[in-house]
Amino acid sequence: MIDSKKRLHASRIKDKLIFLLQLVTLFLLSVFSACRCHPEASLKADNTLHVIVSSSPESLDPRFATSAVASHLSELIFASLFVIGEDLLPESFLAKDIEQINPVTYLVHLRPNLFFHDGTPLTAEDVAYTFSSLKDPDVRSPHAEKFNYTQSVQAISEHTIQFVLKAPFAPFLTDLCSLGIVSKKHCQNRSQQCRHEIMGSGPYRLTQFDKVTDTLILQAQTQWFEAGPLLPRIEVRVVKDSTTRLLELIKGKADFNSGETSPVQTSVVQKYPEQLILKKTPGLGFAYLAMNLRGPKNTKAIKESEEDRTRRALTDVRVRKALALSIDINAILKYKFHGMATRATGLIPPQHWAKSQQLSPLLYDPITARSLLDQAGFTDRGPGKGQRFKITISTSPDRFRQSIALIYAQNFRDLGIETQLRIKDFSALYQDIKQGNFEIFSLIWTPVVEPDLFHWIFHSSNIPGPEKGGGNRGAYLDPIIDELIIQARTSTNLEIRKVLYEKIEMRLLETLPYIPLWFEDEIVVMNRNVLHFTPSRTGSLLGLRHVKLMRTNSKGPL
Amino acid sequence: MEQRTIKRFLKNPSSLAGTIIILCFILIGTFGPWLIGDQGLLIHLDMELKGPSAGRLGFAENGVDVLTSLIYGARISLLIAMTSTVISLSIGIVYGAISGFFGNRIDAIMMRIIDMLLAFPGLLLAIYIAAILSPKTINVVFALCATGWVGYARVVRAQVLSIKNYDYVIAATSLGAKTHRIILIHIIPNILGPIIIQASFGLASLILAEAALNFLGLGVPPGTPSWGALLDQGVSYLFIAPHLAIFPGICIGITVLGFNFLGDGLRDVFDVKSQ
Repeated sequence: MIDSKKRLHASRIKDKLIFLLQLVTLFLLSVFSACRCHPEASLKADNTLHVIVSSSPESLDPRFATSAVASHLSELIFASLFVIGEDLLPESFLAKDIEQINPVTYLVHLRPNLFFHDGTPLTAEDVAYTFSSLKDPDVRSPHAEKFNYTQSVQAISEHTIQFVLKAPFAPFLTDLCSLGIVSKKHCQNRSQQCRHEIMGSGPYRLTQFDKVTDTLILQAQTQWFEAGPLLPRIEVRVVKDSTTRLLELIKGKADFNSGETSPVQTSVVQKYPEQLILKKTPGLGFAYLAMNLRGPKNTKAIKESEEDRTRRALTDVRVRKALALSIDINAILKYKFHGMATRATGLIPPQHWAKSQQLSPLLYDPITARSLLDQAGFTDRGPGKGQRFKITISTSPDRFRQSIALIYAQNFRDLGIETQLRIKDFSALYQDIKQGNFEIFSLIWTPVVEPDLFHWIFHSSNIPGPEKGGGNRGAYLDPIIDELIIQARTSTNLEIRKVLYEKIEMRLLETLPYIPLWFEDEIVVMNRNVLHFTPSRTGSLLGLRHVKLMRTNSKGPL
Repeated sequence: MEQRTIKRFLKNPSSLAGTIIILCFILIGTFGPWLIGDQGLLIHLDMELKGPSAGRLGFAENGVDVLTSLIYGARISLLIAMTSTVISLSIGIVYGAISGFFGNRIDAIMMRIIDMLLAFPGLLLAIYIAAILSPKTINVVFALCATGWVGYARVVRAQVLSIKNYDYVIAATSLGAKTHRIILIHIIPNILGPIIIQASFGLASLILAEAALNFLGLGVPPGTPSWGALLDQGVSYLFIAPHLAIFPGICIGITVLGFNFLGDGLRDVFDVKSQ
């Protein structure tokens, strides 16, 4: 009996000891795992800049990159002949200078000692190949039509390329800023493989692209032409959600957020003044509301359908003006953007060389708006009858954009227009827009650097059709605008172009195919350990090459 | 329902608590909008994301009043959940009764169809359907019903299988009663207990599913007040306006708890073994 009691007692002690041991093990495991996962500890140990972006690049080859993220990352790997400067005029980069022989012939001189990432020299042959390959049907570049105005691109010496255009074309120099140079040796006759095997010419070479974790590792190019050291290593990760991106910065898992930061989120940065810093610069993204000007589908119907009534309304300039006057844009800029956007009077951003200072924005005036609608014959038929007319605003599912579209909807309802929102994911929305399947949509043109964009957006030759692409998605037709746009793109004199663009903007503000809204600031949120970065107006990440990292518990600045 | 059952129901603390909670939300959803008006749903940009200190329960995106949104949201959530339950229940009862009553090959085929539907995770299928359809309240109901009826059909079938061999059913068959009469008059009234329990739990999951769909932006049209949509805003502005996540979260939590309490209570009431 005593033995059995002792055994029971011993067994209880043993159980307690095991339980205690388990607790200690659990505690130690938690401590170790916490230490291992502590982000700051892992970040501070290296000299890598950890960048987060909002989406995965569809391609890093500049001939295939279309999204903003892909284009900006591609710039780091593939250098272009020229880059857009802060004055929005081209500055030399791989090219030393450009010489205009006659209105259609240009000679571009390359810098000496340029190399690709494998050490082979970058020559005029590579430049000529890059531009010619765009037109190659085997390459199937989405930018194939961009350089259609070139007659020929030829290497006339090791460092000189001759561009011959079909006709004088003013935006040519700006277009040279948009295409990074690829290696002819690496890409010739193997366009598809070349798209995936990156051999760049830029300040950074791609050493790893893990598509499972959406992570890119970039190492500084040793044979880069610019003086001064480059930031040695950049790790780029994709974090799709904007709140998570902010969290990553706060937790120290990332140094630099180049993804879209909503102006509302910027107030969070102020809560972490010792850790985070926000830098902004006036952006070039033109936000607008576009209207479908195609008119009624069935003009012979005895009883006009609601859809045709809306389509007829939108062809009337008084209705378009009424819609423009009904939106309190200044209130949106104040409360939604917290001043991080500038009011737009047209497609050309403020401080642009071609911007006219004489244009003034349409001010919020719902009383005049109602009177304009009455004058146009769209009187209020009362609730349930579509009121004045019915309208659908198409927008993307992005929360911030949706919330702004709700403001337009309320403003339009206040005028007596029955309004509803159509939310579609971006690809479906874009498809609808391209096919003219919309009434009003809200999007952003970004970045507006070259004012010749007017030709793509408003010239009648660019109204998209079943077998034809084009940026004139609202089907705006105005012979005066057509003529002015052609004059502006064929003149190489900046002063003459400026006068012409001023006339174009004035005409567009009168006829209102678009309601100009605002230009959103380029916002970059980064850790305070990132020094010497100035955000670019175009959103370019090229400035990262001059960044210095200050790791607080390391041996000093890296 | 027998008076004895009602007494048991009222004496059961779980069912009583559940009933009170649900009744409160139904009353809020029904009469709240009428009392509070719709001014709070209009945009007041100067109030955007202001916290409860600025008034009532604070303000959401575009300065929409959170309390008004929650009250209107209660109406939407309960309406969607109840409509979906009624539709799912109707389909499930008819389907399960036919399958269970006729048995054999009909049962086998009908059950394989159910197995196929069960192979998809319910919410995932609802998300898929809602993503294809445009954001409309009716489409949310359709998406939730698409898989919602399956659970009821299984319960009904199981009950019918056990009841169809009872003497009173055999007697009705022997007397020449028609099949639909046997099912409607003799079988379904006797299996209502388990179905009601299942429905009360189902309502709770439908409220959660509806919130999830709205949270993913696949639910009601934008601008329509709903708990899930408010919760979605709350996540986006977690750092700046945590009240946007807290209040709809509490509402969803309490309502789901209420339905679960009710379900537990009903199970106790209808469980003969526990008497």
